[in-house]
Amino acid sequence: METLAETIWFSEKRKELMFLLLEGAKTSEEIETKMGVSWRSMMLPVKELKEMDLLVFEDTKYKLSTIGRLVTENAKPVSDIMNILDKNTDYWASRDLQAIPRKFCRRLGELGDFSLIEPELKDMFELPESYVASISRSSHIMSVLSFFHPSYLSMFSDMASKGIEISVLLTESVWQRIKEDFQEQKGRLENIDNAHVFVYQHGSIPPGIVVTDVFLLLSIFNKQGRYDHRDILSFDESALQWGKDLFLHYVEGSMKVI
Amino acid sequence: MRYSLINIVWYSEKRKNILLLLKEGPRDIDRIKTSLNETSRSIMPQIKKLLQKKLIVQNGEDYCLSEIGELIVENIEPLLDTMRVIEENKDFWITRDLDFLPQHLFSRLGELGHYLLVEPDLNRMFELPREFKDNILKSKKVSCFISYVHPQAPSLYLELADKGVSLSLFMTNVAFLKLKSEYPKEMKQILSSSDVELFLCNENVPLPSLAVTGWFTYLCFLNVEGRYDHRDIISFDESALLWATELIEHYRSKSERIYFPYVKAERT
Repeated sequence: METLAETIWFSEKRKELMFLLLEGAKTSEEIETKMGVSWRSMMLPVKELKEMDLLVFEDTKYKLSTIGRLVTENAKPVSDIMNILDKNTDYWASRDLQAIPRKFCRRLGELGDFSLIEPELKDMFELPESYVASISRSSHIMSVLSFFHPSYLSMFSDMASKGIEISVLLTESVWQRIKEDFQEQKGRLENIDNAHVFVYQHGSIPPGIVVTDVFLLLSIFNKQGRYDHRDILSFDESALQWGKDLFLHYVEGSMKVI
Repeated sequence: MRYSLINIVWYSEKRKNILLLLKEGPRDIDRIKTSLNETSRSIMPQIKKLLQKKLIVQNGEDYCLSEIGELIVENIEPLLDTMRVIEENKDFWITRDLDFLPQHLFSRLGELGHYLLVEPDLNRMFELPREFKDNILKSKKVSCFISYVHPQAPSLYLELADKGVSLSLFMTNVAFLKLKSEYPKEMKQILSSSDVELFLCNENVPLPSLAVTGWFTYLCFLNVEGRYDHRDIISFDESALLWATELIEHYRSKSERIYFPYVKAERT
C-alpha cells in the first residue's frame, strides 16, 4: 500500500474496520463480533492500518489515530452516498434532485439502509402498508405534503387528536385545495393545540416528506416533475436526522397558518 | 459485469481525473485528452464506463457530469483534499495534537488546501518566521489568536497598530498577563490604538498561535507531546481563510472583549 486512498478503498475489511472504529475504540473481541469475522482474518488489515499510522492499540483496545479519524470521517460520507446510489441507480438517475437543496443532496448517503417502495398498480392510491404500520408507533410527525392525498389529512387529524405532535408543511396550491374542499378537516386541525400547519412561500415544489421518530418516507419527483409513486423508506437514525433537518429547512421559508 | 461506484471511482486514476475535470464544466473529447495528457485509445474505455454508470452524460460533442456524478464529486473532493493535506507531510500531521479543534473544523482540515510547512533554520529559531513577518506586514486586516508569547510579537503588533492595520487580538489570560507584565510599554501603546481590539479567552487552548489576514492563514499547532516544535503552516487558499476565520469566531464566542481602563484613565 502506498496511498491513503488505496488503504481505504482497496480492501473491504480495512474500510469496514475504519468505519467501525469511528464509533469508538474496540477490543479484538468486539471487532470480531461486530464485523462477524474471525480475528485471524482481521490480523492483516489491522497490521496494514497500523503501518499506515491510521490505527493505534491502547489499553487493550484498537482505535483510530488522529489522522485515521480525520480520513475516516471524510471517507464515510463518500462510502455512504456511493452505497445509496449503487442501490437503485436507475431510480436515482431519473430523479429531479434539483428540487432538494444542494447541501441536503450532498448528504443523501445519510439515508442509510433504505428500501424503495413501488406499489402494485392496484394499490396505487393506498398509503404504503409498512408506512401505515410505522406511523402509528411514532410520537411526533413532521410532513411536507407537496401533493394532495385525501387520506393524509384525516389520518393526521386523527393522530393529532390522540396527542401526537404533528407539523405539516403544504404548498400554496395544496393549502388552497384544503381551504376550498376540506373545511371540516381544516376546522378539526385548528382546534388541536399539538397540530401545526405551515405554507411554503417559495415557487419551487419540495419533495414529499414524512419523518417521525421511527421512520422517514421520502417522495422525490422524477425528472419530468411527476410523482411516480416510488418512495424511499428508511428507519436509520441518520435518515431521520436528515429528514428532520430538511423539514426544518422548509419551515424557515414558510408561513404558519394553523 | 456490474461495477460498484467504489470500483468505478477509486480503481482508476483516469476515471477519477475525468470526473474532477468535468466538475469544471463540459468538455469535448479533445479537451479531455489534452487536459489529462491521454490518447483516445487510453481514455475512451473509461469514458464509456462512466457513461454506463450514469456519472457523466454526453451532450452533442461535449461530456458533462450528471446530477449523481456531481453529487459523487462533491463528496469525494473533501476526502481528496484531506488525504492530500496529510500525505504531503504525513510525519508532521501524525505528531500533531489536533484534539482541541471543534469537531466540525477538525473534520474539515482538508480545507487548509495547498499549504506550506514552514520549518525555520536552527539559527533563526527565535525570530518570527520570515514567511509570516513579510506577509503580515502587507495586510490591512489581521486577526490573531495566541496562547504563547513570542518575544517579537509585541513589537510586531505595535508596528501593525502604527500602520493603522485593523487588528483583532484574541489571547488566553495567561498570555495576556505575561505580555502585560513583560512588555508594559508596548502593550499600553498597542491597546491605545483605535484600530486594535482585544479579546480574552477564559479557556486554556493548546493552540500556540493562529493568524488570519485578508489573504493568508498562519497556524502553529502543538505536537502530541504538548510542545511547540517551531513547525508552522502557511496557506494562501481561500478555503483556509474561511476555515481559520471560523476557528477565530469559535474563540470569539468563548472570549470577552476587554476595554482598557488604565489607558482611558491616562487620557482623561
